[in-house]
Amino acid sequence: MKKRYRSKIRIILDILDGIEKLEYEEGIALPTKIMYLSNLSYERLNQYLRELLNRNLILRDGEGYRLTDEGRKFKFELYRIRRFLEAFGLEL
Amino acid sequence: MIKLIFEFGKHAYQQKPIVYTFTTLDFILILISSIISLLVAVYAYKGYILVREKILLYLNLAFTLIGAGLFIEALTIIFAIISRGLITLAIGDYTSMLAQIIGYLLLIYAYYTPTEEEPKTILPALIVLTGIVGYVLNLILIIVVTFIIAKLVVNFLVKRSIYSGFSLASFLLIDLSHIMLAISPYRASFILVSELIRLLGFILLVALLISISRGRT
Repeated sequence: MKKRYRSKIRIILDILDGIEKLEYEEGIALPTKIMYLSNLSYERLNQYLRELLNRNLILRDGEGYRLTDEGRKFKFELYRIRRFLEAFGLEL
Repeated sequence: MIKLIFEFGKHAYQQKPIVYTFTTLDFILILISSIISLLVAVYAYKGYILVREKILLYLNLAFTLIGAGLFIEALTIIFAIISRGLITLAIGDYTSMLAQIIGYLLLIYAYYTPTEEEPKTILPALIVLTGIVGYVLNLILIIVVTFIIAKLVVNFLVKRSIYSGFSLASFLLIDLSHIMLAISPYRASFILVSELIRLLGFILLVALLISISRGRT
């Protein structure tokens, strides 16, 4: 299948996924590790993190980040939408 | 209005019970298919509201058109019974098929960058004689849905998920129903069976929505 560019919402899902994974494995999600997992430059990651903080989907905890309850709910909804689109051969 | 339909239904049943049973079944099957299609449209719209991705809007519009088309078809069956007008039935049928074709084309639009020729291919068919129009529209529907199926087969082979399986099976049944209509357009039993098959296809879409809602990340 032809590789498509990542949409903004897909990048947000990757970031939220990365934060949750790091939170589970290491207790906290540090920006450098989120950057690696979401495959973004430091500048672009910071832009997205600021947006996620403003939307109350993540919160700052010392040097790192955590998902808020709203963030977890949003991530779950994004997965649902992704499954729905994938069922029709479409991508988020 | 409902009383009038009921009274006419009773009268029609006394006159021609077979015709009455056939049209009632026809009406119910189409109406359920339309409701399911609109349900999928609502699901896509909810997703669009949440993430504002255009692709979800295309899905919403596609299923709204398919559902609206089927709803019009169901309504015209009732109006045709009341007015005893076959022309009403034909107009409803063609409107429904056109709406469905545009709906399925929108689904293809979501897969690819649109070309300007696509919608124009539908228009010349309207000029053709009344009897042939329905047949031609049905053939266009088969071609359009078959194209979507080809995409869904590839998607299923790549993803191999239960969700892609549901949508593939659903569109296969919808296509099969249109093929049955094309093979024998004037036999009542074929029409009913084809509508039952199409309904099964839409029921699979409901199963898809339920499995997505219940699924874990």
